[in-house]
Amino acid sequence: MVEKKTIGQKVVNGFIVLILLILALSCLLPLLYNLAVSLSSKAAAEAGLVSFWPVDFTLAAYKEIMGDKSFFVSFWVSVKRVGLSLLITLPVLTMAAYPLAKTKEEFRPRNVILWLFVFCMMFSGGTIPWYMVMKQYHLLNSVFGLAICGGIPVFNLILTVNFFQGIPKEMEEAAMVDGAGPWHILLRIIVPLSKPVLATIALFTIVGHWNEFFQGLVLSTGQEHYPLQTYIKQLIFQLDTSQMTAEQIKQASMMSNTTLNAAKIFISMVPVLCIYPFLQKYFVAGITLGGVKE
Amino acid sequence: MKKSRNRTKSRTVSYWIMVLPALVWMVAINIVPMFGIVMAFQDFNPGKGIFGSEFVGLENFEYMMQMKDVSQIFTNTIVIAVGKLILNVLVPVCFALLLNEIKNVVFKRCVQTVVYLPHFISWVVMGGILLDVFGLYGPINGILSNFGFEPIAFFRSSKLFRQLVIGTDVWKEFGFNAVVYLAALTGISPELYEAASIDGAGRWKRMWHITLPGIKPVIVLMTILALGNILNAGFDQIYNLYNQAVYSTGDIIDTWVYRVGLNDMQFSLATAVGLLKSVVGFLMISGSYLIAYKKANYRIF
Amino acid sequence: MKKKQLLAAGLAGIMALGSLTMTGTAAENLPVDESGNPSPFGKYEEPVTVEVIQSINPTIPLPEGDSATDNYYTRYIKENMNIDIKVKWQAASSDYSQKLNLAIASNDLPDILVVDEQAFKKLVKSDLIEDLTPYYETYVSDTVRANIDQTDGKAMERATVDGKIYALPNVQSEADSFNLMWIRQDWLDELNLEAPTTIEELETVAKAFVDNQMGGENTIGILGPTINSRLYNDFIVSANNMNNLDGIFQAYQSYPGFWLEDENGEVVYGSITEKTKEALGELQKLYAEGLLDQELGVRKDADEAWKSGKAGILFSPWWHGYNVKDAIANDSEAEWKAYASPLAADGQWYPKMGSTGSNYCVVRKGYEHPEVVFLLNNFLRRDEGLFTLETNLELSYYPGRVVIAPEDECSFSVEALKAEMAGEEIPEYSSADYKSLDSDLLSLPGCLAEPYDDLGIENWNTEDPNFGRIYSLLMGMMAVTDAEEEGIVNRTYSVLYSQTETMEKKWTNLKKKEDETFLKIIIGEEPLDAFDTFVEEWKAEGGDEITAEVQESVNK
Repeated sequence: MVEKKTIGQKVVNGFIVLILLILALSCLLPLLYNLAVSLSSKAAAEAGLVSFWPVDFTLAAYKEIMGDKSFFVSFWVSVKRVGLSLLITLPVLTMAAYPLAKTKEEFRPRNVILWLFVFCMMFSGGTIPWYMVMKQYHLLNSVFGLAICGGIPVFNLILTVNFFQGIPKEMEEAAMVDGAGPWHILLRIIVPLSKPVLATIALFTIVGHWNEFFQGLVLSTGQEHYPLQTYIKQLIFQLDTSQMTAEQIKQASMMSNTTLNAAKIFISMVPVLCIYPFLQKYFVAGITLGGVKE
Repeated sequence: MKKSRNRTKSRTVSYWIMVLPALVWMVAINIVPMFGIVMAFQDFNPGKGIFGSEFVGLENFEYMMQMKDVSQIFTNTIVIAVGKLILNVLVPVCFALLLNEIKNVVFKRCVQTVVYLPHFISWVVMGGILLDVFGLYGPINGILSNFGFEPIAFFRSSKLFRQLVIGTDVWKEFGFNAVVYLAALTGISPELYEAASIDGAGRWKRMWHITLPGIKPVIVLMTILALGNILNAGFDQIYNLYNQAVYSTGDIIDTWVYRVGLNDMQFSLATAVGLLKSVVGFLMISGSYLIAYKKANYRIF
Repeated sequence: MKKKQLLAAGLAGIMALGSLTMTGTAAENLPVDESGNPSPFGKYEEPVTVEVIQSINPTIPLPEGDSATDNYYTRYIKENMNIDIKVKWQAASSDYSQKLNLAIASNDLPDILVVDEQAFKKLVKSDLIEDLTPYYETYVSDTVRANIDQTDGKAMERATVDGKIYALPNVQSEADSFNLMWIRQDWLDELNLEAPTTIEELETVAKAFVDNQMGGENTIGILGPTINSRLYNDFIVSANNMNNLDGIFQAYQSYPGFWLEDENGEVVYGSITEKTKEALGELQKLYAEGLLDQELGVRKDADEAWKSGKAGILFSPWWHGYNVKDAIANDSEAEWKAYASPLAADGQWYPKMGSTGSNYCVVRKGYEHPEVVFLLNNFLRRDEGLFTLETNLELSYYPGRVVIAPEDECSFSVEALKAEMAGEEIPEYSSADYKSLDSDLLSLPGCLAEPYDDLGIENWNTEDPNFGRIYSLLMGMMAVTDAEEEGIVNRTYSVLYSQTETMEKKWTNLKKKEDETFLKIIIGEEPLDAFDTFVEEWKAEGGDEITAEVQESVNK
């Protein structure tokens, strides 16, 4: 697509680039701030003297993390959790989305099942019965438990269904005429065409499980089972002293180590940041489909 | 004929096998704990458990409705939630469209990666950063003072609090929310653009007639699903940003329930509020689905 | 097959019932002394297992080779009491209450647990915890009993519901309640000013700090609390409040958040008195003149403000001194001193006093050995001094721990330290009673340069591990003992430190109204007269009803 650009178009282009640059910069600043704090001296950080450049540059916080066993234990729990959740979520959702993307004539209970899922997305029994049930299932302190305890990701399922519906019927029908069964069609035709949506739900699954902390707290009986964000969350909190004892307040005020926490936040972000560009190619590349659902 | 019926039957069996794992997962983790919903109609006593606690009918809901400032809290919740709902679709879509106009792949990728960073910073941390940025002596007031404005403590202003909450949430999440639209954009065939180009369609025409219709199904879907959050204004964010001076505009259902809980462990009340939010959200989703289907013959999923 | 299993299960059940009814007979496994009698310091003949939960500090790992169930304390407990500790779960202090609430709600309790006021009430109401009345007399040790009795029955009253004792309550030193004025002495010296003793002087000093930009541009004269923290202590959370405004309310004999009794014995809520209105007026004025924290209500982190040297005056408990070190790291000149000030118009100091404690060690209903609660804490109380010498392991790892301290722990420590510093004889004390005093006296020379006649910051060694405590005692607590010697201390207590029934329904909204109105008045968003409207509404919307309830509970 070689186009000759008029001056007007150039101005518009420049304007778009400018807007995007400002947006990108504003999004980069909190991270820079966090990085600067993690590289500053503790005294300067606790006094709030750091902005976007380290004060009294030091790597002390990162050295301290290297010696912190529980940080790495939690890191590993999170990696396992994300890996397992991907292994479970992607196949289960892909399989379920295919029949649900059919019309009511093709798969009669489709509407009922789909609305059941939507119902489950909206309603829950609350934390208390959920915890009791997880305990009954012996899913405490288990990576498998963490991978499935959030229930079925209905949002991702619907997204996939929606995408599958957009795939032109003709491709499937042609295969059917050749005598291909549903499994064959799903694996050989639908899945290869669905890389963007699969990459999207993979990303959502990874990010969701990586950032999740509450379930990790409730379903673990001790530090050694915590996923990373649960571990980090306990160190970074808005101190709500009203429910704490004097002892706990003192303990908590000793626990806050601004620079160390900033370093932990930063390191915890690195893996998801690395994964994103890798998945990104599926969003940018573009796959030629005959058309899109309309 | 018989053969075809057999084939249909075997296909149906395959379909059932395909949805089965998802159904098992749903029943085991989502459905089973739903017995807890009865707590909303009980005066839950942990000693007696869910099956032994006394039923009180709608008392928990009445308690909520009898509260003097109930309308204030619901207004705050809905105004903030609706604001977020609209802008959290609009802004990411605009961003995705703008990004789509960029031809330089490296720049495109860099921007895309950077804008999704704030999503990973929790509200505890982000709240602290925002209080600084919007503080009395922060950079925003610094800029405004150049234009002759008096410095104000933004987050203490009950007039500005809702706007700030909506704005900062949209800013924090737009990069992440755009992912879905970017994925959908890849589904649009370049041939369409080429054809349009040949026809002499300009940038805006292409955007209007090809790009937007191309991602319309996803936009509609995301909007409808977001309607389910009509009573979720975002506890984490508001809890970390609000203060006593903005109760009149910033106190939402969740922060109120949280404070009641601090005062007295009201398990039943929390469940009742959760149920109310679910019912309203579900009605919004199914209502809009039906309207779209009946009036426009449009299937959302 | 099935039937047989059922039958067996039934039989087992019957047998279990039988063994239950047998308790109280001679075959029981009790903690006994050498002569075989049940004793507060006894040891079980057969090992007993206690399941506990722990609130821990995740940033300090256990010593190498130790674990939650095998460490200095568990070994000590096994050896002395023949008790095996099992940990049900542990969580950081920041997450503890959340996990505990869930444990209570799902009736998934450990054998013994330590809870706060609110959880305690809920547990009693839900009938989930054991009545400890039959065990108290036999198993509570003399020291623990003495400390509890010191409170004139207030501590026991907290733990008693309908005449039954449901918990071992903590008894904390009263020191945590006092809200002292901490001030930058070096700024005062630089400006040739005296520490303020009255509100007028406080105003003058704060103005001098701000006008002379002692902390740079935007100097904070009087610091306020962090966002969403309380401006003043109340009857529910009545102590340990950092950077509060109680110091100023006190000077008007105003006690917002407390239930008071007037001369006629009538209960009145402290937040609705005329004196409180007066104090609010003063605060409004201080704010308008730029002397009170201009970011009041949205201050991101109050500690940040004074650690970075931006603030000149703040009101905090005696243990503010524990953190002073961080300010000195940024500015070696920073010298924080404490005063029992400002005084009321009559020259007296009216500190607001907290409850005798706020937590409770309780026993899960149905646990076979409820007496372990007393046993564990008896031993802890006796040997705590020894523990600090022998191990670095934090005391929070000690199972079932509630702090039991003599009410005068801090002030007595100050007396002893003062005597030591003056070269006088230290008043006689038992190490078991004042468990930290031994180590306090030992670490004095390491913290403060001799001859101990100048407490200026240049004479302190901030690197000493015990610096925080000694500095807090000799600065913070000494301000109280000095005022005491002058005879100007008039303690004010709330007549009630727990909730009444109507509060459960209406308090959240009344409290919201109060918090909102007070902050808005101070920052000038509402005129002072909004206070009168608030009082009317407060009374009408349940305040009067609640006051009557409090009155009733006081008359009882």
